[in-house]
Amino acid sequence: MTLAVAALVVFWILEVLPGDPAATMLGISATPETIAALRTELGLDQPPVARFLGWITGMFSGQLGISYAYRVPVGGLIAERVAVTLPLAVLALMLASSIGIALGTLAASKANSVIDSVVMGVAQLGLAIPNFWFGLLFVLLFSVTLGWFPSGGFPGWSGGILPAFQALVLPALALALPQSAVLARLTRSSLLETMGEDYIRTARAKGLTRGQTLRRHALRNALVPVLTMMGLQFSFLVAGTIIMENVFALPGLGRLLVQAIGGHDLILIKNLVLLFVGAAVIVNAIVDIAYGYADPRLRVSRP
Amino acid sequence: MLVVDNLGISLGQTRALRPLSFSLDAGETLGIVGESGSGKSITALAIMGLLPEVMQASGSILLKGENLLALDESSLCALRGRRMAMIFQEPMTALNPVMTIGRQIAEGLVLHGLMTSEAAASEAVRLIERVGLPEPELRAHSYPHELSGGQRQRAMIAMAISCRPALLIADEPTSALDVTVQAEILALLREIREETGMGMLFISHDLAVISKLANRTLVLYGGAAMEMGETQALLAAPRHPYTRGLIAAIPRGNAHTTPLRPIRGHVPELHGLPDGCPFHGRCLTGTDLCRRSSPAPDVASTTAWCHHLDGGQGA
Amino acid sequence: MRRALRHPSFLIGASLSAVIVFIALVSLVWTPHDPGQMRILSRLKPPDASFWLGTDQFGRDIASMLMVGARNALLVGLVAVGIGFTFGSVLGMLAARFEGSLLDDVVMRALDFVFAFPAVLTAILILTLFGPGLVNAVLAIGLFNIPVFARQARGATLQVMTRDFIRAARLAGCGTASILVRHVVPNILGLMIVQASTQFALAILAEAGLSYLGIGTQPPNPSWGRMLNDAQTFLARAPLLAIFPGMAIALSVLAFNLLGDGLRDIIDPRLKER
Repeated sequence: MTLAVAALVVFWILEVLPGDPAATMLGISATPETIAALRTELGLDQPPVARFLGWITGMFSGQLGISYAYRVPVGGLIAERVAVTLPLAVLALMLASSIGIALGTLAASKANSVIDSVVMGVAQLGLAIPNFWFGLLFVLLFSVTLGWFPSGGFPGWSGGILPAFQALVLPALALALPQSAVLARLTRSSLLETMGEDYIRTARAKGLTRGQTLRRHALRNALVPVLTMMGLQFSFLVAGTIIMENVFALPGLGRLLVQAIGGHDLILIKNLVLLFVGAAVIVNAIVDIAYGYADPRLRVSRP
Repeated sequence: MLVVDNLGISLGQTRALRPLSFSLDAGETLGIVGESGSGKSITALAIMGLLPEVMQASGSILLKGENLLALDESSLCALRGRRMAMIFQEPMTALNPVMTIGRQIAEGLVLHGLMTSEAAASEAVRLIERVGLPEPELRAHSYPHELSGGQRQRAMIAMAISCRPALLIADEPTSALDVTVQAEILALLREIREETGMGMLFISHDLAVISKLANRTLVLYGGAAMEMGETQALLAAPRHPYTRGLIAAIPRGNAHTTPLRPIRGHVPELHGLPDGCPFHGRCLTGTDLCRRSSPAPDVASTTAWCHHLDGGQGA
Repeated sequence: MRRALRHPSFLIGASLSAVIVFIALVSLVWTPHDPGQMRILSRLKPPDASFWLGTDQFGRDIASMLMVGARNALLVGLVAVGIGFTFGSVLGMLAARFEGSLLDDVVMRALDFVFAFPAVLTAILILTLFGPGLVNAVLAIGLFNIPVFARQARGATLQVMTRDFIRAARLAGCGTASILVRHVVPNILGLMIVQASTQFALAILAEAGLSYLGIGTQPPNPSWGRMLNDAQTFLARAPLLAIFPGMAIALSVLAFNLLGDGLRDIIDPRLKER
């Protein structure tokens, strides 16, 4: 549903609003003849409704159209780039959640201590630092100064997992840090709230120490709002990959999108944008399923 | 087995519980009755060592000769659940919603090093059966929200008795339940007490419920002891005006002939606890003396703390 | 007020924000050098007495560019948050006033959709359509600020509407507009200002990101995000170029975040994170 509306909006903004997409794509220096030729090639002489339906049906058969700038099928172009962006996003999400939840738990278990203040102070700072600046600083420290990691580029997966992984670690970490600051703050406050629940007292009466209670009983309950936030954060993460791929010169979807914008490649843009929206929808569906695991009360039916 | 001597609890400058002493033998049940704010629940929490951090306890609590108030946190953790266990009022919220019943019951057994986790899991099933839940295997894999209130309270009891503690504290275990379920849970507690020989502190605001289970009863009001004695003696011949008021407020079968007599006034705020007898403001026999000084215990058929035991009508 | 002065994050946030605003104002009348002037002979120079923070690849003075950049960042924040605040508050209050009506439904659904749509994609679409530039970037950031404010305003209004004085005002014959303006607005303004402070920080971050990608502020106007993009090319030769603009962004965002946190604690101490 969301996807259908999104497709309609994207199509409307990119192909109907500008009036003549062909002219937009070719820029101001185009001659009327080349514009006419492109119009025919793109099928722009057909009414918008037919074009929209053509795009949607094409999507299901894998025919996304030919990129104007690259002169290759959009489908293949995107598939190639997904192999970079997807691992980057997944790695970033994993780093963000593990760092954020670990720090938030640490702060909550030592609530109102020096450790708590330090962790929360660092988190406040992490919120303020733009992820691409983290990226630049990492390049400066680990690549330029220490030489531990490549400063950018991507060797491809064919050259083995390790070099590819190495190329992704820094951008993923830079992406993850601001998100983990958000998650750390949320985890802490959610945990402290949970620690006031009755079943926490029950667990303490059983003989568990405060720390054991926090880890075994409070954490899982406290993670429900954290999960919600992770779902919401995915759109920030998508935004982040677009920027981060440009910082580290990674040949991923985000970089492709920025290049497509530069080249007015509307066909590429509309497919890419829809792909990003689709990813957000899928992630939210995954979060819904994860709710069930985190909180059995939210399960629709028992397996 | 349990000897509480001059246990006082304060919240900063405010006294939440005046020095209180009582004892409990193995196999015996002491009922503690009082309205909310009377200090009965914090007494229980003090014994468990689970008072909120803002509260301080003084005096001594001896469990099998060991002073609980002098123990450090890790020694207390070793005792909690193992030597003393507690059942809470709200079965709806007192169980962890994301953990199966079986795991919550088995947790204490493993924690205190009594069993391996496999043995504890099957022991949990046996305990679930013992507290009278149908289909114990299935129930062990259920989550709390899949059980009714009474079933959850049974699960709580199974959890509390899992390590065979010497002391079981039940804080209003039936107050949130339907009357019929209440009776079943009380019967279960009585059975288990007989079977295991553990001592039980049974806390309730309801004297009628207490009378079904407790050998002796302690009446608390406003953070101070009013009267303590054998339950039968206390019910048959209450000596303190407040106890008399409580008994008169219990609805009886012949409601048409005996009018219910509510106690006039309201429970004083803890912060504004008056000096002297905390009940003096609502007591019909209250005099200036009651306001100025706390009464000394008077031992007869029961022990009562009142300046005017021989006179007056009570509340 | 006395509580405000004793609140650490409010104090730090407020003073940092004041310093940034002050620098931006000063840049209107004075900067150490002309921020646009290029000097072929003094390119990529380290900080010295004349160029306090060094020069960039065209020999432009970094300190001056940062000062003008502050103006740019604050302007973006102000306009973007202004758009979101105005439209969002009105939409939110109207939706709450006519809770459950078709209007409420349509507004909330539309906002849900904008919310679900990754914000940067919205911005990129808008910038693709209308061309890159500061004005369009600000409009795009403002657009996805609207749902944030609308939700907050709706929730807060719903809460206020249940209070007795609203019923009293309605009984006294006050119309919808007069109730909203005279009674609801003063009661939800505090919360909205707190939200504005946080969104202000996010707007600065967003503009920096878009400018870094080259689709936000266009040269020759200095922008912190753009300066970072330029700095990347010369990372090995002049690392300081990448340090100062980043610090400027981080400090501004930190300032307004702290200000927001502090204001929230002061306005509603119950919301304070333990």
